[in-house]
Amino acid sequence: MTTAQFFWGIVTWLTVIVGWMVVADQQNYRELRKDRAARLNDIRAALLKIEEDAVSFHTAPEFSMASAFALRRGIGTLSRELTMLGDCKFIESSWSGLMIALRQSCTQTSQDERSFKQVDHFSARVGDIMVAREDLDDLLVAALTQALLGHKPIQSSLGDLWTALRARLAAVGTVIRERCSRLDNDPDVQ
Amino acid sequence: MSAEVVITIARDFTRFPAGRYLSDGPYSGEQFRKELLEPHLAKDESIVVDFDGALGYGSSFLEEAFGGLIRMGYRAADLLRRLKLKSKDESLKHEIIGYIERASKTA
Repeated sequence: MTTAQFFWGIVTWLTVIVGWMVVADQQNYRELRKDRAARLNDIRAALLKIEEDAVSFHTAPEFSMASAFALRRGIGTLSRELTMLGDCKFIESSWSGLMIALRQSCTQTSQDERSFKQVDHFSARVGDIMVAREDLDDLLVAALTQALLGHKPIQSSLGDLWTALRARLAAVGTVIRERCSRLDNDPDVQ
Repeated sequence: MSAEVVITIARDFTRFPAGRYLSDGPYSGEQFRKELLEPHLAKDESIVVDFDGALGYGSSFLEEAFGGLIRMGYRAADLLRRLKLKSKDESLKHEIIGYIERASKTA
């Protein structure tokens, strides 16, 4: 085997390996995008359920302790989930104000038997609940759109691979330097 | 200023906070304020309020518990300095701070 053959053999193998890694990276990104979209759609479904529960609670003829509790709990669960997504910068920071508006519209009044007051479907209370839900839903749709439209260019995959490779090489270099230094200081070796 | 007290609502009060006033039933915002917040604030203590573990909070509970402190004569700046709010739910903390500030403006 000549030097040229050896060189081109290495280049061919490197191209195959890097190509395979880029394809795998792009595939992982697509899967991640699908997972994000699915999670956002689950949250939107939970939000719609909260609106339905809140409207049926406030329009019911009698106070229900169980429904009031379920409503508060559902809102709490949703809010904690949005906190996590907000911390990851996955949704806009304005989510917090919209979540407060939703909690207030659902639980500011009528949370006990004494103060419970049935309202009709076209009341201000029901309107507030629906508007608060829609505002929060708009924010989730914006995040969903970002998740679906976002794509990762090939250059970005190559850049990530290069960064990972450099980090790996740096770690190997550190280990080699440490071993050399230990050998230098070892009196038996000297 | 004396020591910091930690109040974990789920442990020290209830897992099921509900309602605004004492007359609304057990575990209301007013009861929480009177039994747990005011005694420590009166002793000039700082309070860490841990909201995690309880199964949902209504705005009426939160407003009466914390906005009610302003109506009882506490100053917003003093409360915001002495109360540390701990929760996995970020919006809960913002909502409470909003109640304290709003009550202070209308007081």
